[in-house]
Amino acid sequence: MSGRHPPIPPPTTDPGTTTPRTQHVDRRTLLRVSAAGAVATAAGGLATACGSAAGQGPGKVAIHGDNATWEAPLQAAGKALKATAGLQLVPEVIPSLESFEQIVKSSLRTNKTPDLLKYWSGYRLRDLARTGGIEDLSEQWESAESQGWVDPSLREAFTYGGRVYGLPMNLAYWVIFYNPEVFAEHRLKKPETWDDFLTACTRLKDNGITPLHGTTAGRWPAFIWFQEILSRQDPQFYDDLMNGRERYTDPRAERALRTIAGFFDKNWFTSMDVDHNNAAAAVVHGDIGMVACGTWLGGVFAGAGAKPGKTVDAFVLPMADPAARPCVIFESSAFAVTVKGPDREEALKAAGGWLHPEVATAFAHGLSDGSPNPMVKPANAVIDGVTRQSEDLWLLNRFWEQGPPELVESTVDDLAGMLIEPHSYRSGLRTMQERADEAWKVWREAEKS
Amino acid sequence: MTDTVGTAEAAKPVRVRRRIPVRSPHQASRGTSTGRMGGPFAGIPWALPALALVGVLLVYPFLRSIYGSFFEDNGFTSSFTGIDNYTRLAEDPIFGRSLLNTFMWVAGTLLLPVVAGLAIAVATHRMRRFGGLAQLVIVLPFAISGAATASLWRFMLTTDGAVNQVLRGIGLDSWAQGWLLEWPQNTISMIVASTWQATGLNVVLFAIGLRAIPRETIEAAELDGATGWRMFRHITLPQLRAVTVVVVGMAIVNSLKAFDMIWVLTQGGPSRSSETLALTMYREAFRLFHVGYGSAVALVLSVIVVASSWLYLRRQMPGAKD
Amino acid sequence: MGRHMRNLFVAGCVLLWLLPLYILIVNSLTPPEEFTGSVDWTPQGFAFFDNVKAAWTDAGIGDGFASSMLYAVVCGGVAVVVAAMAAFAVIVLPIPRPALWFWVIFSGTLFPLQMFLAPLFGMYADANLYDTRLGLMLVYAAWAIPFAFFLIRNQMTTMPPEITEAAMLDGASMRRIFWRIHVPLMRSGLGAAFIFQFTAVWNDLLFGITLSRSPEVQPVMAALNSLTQAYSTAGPPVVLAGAFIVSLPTLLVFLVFRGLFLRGITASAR
Repeated sequence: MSGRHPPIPPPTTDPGTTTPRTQHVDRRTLLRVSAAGAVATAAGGLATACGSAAGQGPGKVAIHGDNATWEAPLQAAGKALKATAGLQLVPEVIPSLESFEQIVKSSLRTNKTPDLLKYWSGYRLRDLARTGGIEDLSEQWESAESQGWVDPSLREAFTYGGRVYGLPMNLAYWVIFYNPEVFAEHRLKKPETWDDFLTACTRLKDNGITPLHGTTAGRWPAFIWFQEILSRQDPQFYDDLMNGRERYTDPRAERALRTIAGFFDKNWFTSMDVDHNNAAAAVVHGDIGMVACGTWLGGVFAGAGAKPGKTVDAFVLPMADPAARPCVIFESSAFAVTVKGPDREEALKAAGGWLHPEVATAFAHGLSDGSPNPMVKPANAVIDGVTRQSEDLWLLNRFWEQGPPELVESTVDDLAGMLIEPHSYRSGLRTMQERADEAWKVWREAEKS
Repeated sequence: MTDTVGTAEAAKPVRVRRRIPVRSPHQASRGTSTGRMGGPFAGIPWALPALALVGVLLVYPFLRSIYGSFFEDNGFTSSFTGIDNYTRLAEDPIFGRSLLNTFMWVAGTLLLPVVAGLAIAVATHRMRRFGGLAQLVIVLPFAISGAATASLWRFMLTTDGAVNQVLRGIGLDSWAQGWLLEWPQNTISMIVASTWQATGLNVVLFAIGLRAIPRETIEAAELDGATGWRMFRHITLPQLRAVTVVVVGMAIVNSLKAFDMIWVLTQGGPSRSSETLALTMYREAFRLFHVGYGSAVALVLSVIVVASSWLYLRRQMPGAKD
Repeated sequence: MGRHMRNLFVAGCVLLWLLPLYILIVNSLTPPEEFTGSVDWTPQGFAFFDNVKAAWTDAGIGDGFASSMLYAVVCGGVAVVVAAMAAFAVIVLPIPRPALWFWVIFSGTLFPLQMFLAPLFGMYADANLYDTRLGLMLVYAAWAIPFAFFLIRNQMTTMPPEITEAAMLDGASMRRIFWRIHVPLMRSGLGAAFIFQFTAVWNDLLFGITLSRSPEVQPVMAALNSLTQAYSTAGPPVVLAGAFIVSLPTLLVFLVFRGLFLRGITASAR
């Protein structure tokens, strides 16, 4: 880590784990037509050779994730993958986001790296792809897309330099959770327009319920409301700003934060130290009106005793500008294959089978969340509703995955500052732009080299 | 840590007879018995296992981090940049805040857990039944892990948390506030939370020290008419010196390195307002992958820790004067 | 300070200390679906064992429990023995520059923990120690030595040198003097050092999550940590119940040994 490690050598210098491209293509063709047994014999010798070192045994590949709640779904998907591709997934969870990233980054250049990674999409994946430590999965993507196994509009989020470096694992939509029983009690319906949403806030507030949950607890959630409001006021601007084509000092960014400051003035927000798990419990018990989060928060609601459709439901925040192209924010994790992993061949094979409808269904249902494979039936009523609602919407990637990771890490702190002092947004945005100028300069320089 | 090593000048007002010679360090006899002990290097094999483990697994990685602080390293590639990381440090506005918070932690930790520990130990020392029980209650939190303590204190310190509910309950509504949301309350309330956890250990250590004070010493002082505060100031305190060294030494080191509590409660936020140097270092090296810069912060922190411990222990530690 | 003032002060402290403990216990009793999102002051049902079970299975605490027990007992023990030997070397035996030895070994506890992580990871990957129990045990032992050394060394300075000299006149070897005289006489100090280092190793999180990844190797705090992660679905009562259950071993060690080493110390001091 500290200056001693050389840059990653090109993959071909590692004779132990690398096979020529041609053979790789052969195996892919084989994979497409064959059943499990056939592949096992074709690649068997090789797999044993690779698997014997530090990796899992033949027929097993380790997948490395940062999220313990994914363990069971991954196991379920692994079971399906065993049936469809003859490979078993062995999930290994590092229960801390920080050390996960640290371990991934420092292990990619060693042969201690896991075979498969769960990683973020967007710029974080690009950052990783740039190191040369993960495999190009363009063929796997195209094969999946030609069979209708993946939503093509997600491709951009997994692409770097025209090549695909990860396959989508889950597809979470960013929505507003609410309690239908509480809404009904106050003669409110699921908001379909921006005005509906404002009406709901006003009426809940009048009835002693804090309408909106906002928080800086855990640091990262500070971006949520900025992302939601900005993308509903001007989705094109959100997309451009996140990709470094617009500036934070733009009046449109200011407008979004002014809107949020207005919500603060009306006392619509909870105090900024309520975390999501407490907020979910408070929604179920009718103390907080709405919580903005990814659909994955559904699991937390279930844990808090919510009944989907009765005491919890979700909607996509309506567009504030009805003339703009309707959008929804998505979040999707990447399934990436490491170059130096001990079972690389099997890992590539697993990538080929990952989006298979049976595997994707097992995973999405295990997770109770959305799936990047449109053929998968929604896992529950809430996901069903949101998926229907999102069908024709413009899918925009989440704030966390947009822009150089280093920039995002700093701007969430600036946004937190603006949640604590809502009317300081002008100076806050100026700071953010200064950071953005520098970070984008560094990013683009690195891109050239 | 368990016995009375008060030196002559510290115990001046009431002269105390001592069982243990002040001359102490056993190496005083080295000159005569070196031969019988196996030559002037006889100690080395005994100290080698400790040195090997600490040297290879702690000191060497530490030095490597220092070396890394002269490089610009993003986790994959690195280039030598000399003292760039240090000049950047001097210009970083967060570094100043972080330094200030670090010193608040040191001052707060010396003030609260050490003084409270001493006060509670002295107050419970002669209590018959209730004293031991009180000490037990106060030491329990020490056994709870840092991360678990922090989860619990989140319940206490959030805006709807227990502390504010108590304040509102007793009519102090205006005192209720977002303890974790604004500086300097967030740093102060986290120091209080760590006081809850750390005091017990100090109470136990001081209690051990108090019990070790020879009865004759107390009796002699009582004959001289020492009571109350004078007794405490001139007898008890000097007699507790060996324990105090350990307690204060630990307090300095641990407060400078305070991490778990802050990491779980605020992650140094909101908006980096409660960061200490340990947090800044972790964030730079592990979140932003500015490995060199993180190492530079760590070096500054290490220099502060080592220097302050050295300044303190050099003078205070029993037998460290040779 | 009058007796009443003193009693009042102690009672006040005990109350202040009990309050958070009370909240810990009451809130870990609440069934997750009853939990309203803010602190409970009175028990809202009795789901403690369900919560513990949820934490135990969700976070896979079981594996970690056994591993951590191994690490804490073995590394705490090894560290105390190695530290006692080093203290013996620095205080009793002739050694060139004892102060330097002291500071080098003690420095291990002065540096911020985070500084070791990245270089250690690289070293462990190269030496095939990454994600092995041996690797974690080595680093825990090393990490536990400096402070144990500090405690034991301080205690050893209080032992009269005449004891050593008398034993030497009897012709005892240094090894015998160490094991038969110093170790028994410092029983209580060694016990205290062991308890502190047992607690420290048991409660470690950072080494655990950096140097291991498989469930069989990971220590218990790493497992518990997965409950408090951003994507965790565990409700706050489950988190508290988990926190409580993983604190039990250290609590027990304290309760069991506290009286023991207090008595030992007072006995040796009189």
